[in-house]
Parts: sequence; structure tokens; C-alpha cells
Amino acid sequence: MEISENKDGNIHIFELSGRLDSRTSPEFDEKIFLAMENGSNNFIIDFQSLEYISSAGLRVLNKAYKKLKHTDGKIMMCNMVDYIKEVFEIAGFDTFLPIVSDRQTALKSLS
Amino acid sequence: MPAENDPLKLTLKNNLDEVKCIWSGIETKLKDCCMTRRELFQINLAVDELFTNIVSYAFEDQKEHDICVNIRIENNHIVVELEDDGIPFNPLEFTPHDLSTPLSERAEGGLGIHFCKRLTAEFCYERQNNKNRVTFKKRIKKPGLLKKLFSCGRNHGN
Repeated sequence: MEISENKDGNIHIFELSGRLDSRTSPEFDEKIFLAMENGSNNFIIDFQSLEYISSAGLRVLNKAYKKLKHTDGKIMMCNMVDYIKEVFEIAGFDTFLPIVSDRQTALKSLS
Repeated sequence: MPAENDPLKLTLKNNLDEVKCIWSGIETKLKDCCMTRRELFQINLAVDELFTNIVSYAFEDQKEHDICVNIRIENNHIVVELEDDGIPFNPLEFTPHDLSTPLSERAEGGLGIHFCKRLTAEFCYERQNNKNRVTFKKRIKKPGLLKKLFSCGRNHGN
């Protein structure tokens, strides 16, 4: 699992690659919450290189979403393969956490 | 020569680090067959969720336990069986959170078993000899190459 971070204006972008599961999700949890503590309020999670996600990964996003609700923050996800998107749909997350096709669309929507 | 339908057997310890053995085991065995990435992902996810659940909640002591994962083919299905000697837990009796509740009001967690049930077929549970055994099936579209693959190698985890 590799997590890289960068910023575009006030938008905090996470690029995830590899496998986000019960072993690796604590690292993502730590990084996204640290970013929030440091003032980031709008996030893009880019799934371009993510091969795998389990419920442990969705749990981190659920936690982050709840925290951002209090500050009117947003999370948008992009570049998701169909079978990962399907998991978000089965979990009923897609209604609350927008999934868009690519990063440009996400940036445009958050700007 | 191994029989055509010899199962893939993994004996894992109750440690989350073993999750990587699940996917390496499954993907090494199945990557060259004509299963789609989606099918592989879903089998991997179902086994991972059940395994993670067992490691997290099944054992009340601090001892090492074995969790056995068996994967075999039957006609055009992959059949997966997980067995553990933890406290009784029937996933079929587990009720997920109401998924229509707004995410902000929903308790975190509890999705793993829900995924397993949604992504697999004939999900069964039995308790025998102080062990939990969960079995599920996953239909595959082109089982021919799978049979070939299972006949080529079967020693992982044995």
C-alpha cells in the first residue's frame, strides 16, 4: 500500500495504490485525520492505482466523512474501477460520498 | 498426479498480517485462468472479510489459533470454506446496519459480512466439534481453465 498526498489550492488529494485492507487502513486513517487536523477540509481520493479495498478501507472513509460533516467539508472519489465502485454501492456509500470519473471532474466540482 | 479437483488449502494464524497470504494464495492460483478481475476481487474480498472478522472477534484468549481456508471447484463454482475454533458466530444471523440511514448517522463497521452475503451464493454456517464452518460458492463463467489450473499446483499452504 502506498499513499501519496498533494494539494491543489485548498484541496487535499490522496492517491492510493495497492491494497487498502485491515492491515493497511490504519495508515490511511492516520494520514487523512492528520490532514484534517492541519486544516484540510476538502479531499479528493484518487483510486487510479488502487487494486483492492475491503470494508476496513470503507470504514476509514465513513469516519472521515462524519468528521467533515461538522465542518462542511467534502470528500470526492475518482478513477474507481467498476468492481470497487460496486462495493461502495452495496455499502450504500455512493449516495453520500460522490464518485466521479476523473480527477479533473473532482477538482472542478470542489473548486 | 494430483486429482483434478484437489483443493487449495491455506492454514492461517489468527493475525491480520495473514491477510496477505489470502490474496497471494488466491491470486497466484487463479490469476492465469479466465476469471475476470471482478470475480477474483469478489472472492478475495469475501474470504478477507470473513477472515478479518474471525481474527478480530472469535478468540477470547491470547493464544495462537489456526484458521483453515479451503478453496475448491465444483462444476462451474468456486467453493470456499473457512473453519475456526473460536466462539460460536453465525454470520447468517448478523444484521447489517440500515444502509438507507445517512452515512453521518451510521455506526462504522459491520459491512464485511454484508459484502460476503451480497457477493456470494449459498452462504452456509455450521457449528460442529466446537468449530465454526462457513461455506459459500461463487459462480464462475468459464470453469474449464480453472480445472486445468487446479490440476497444475496444489501445495500452497500445505
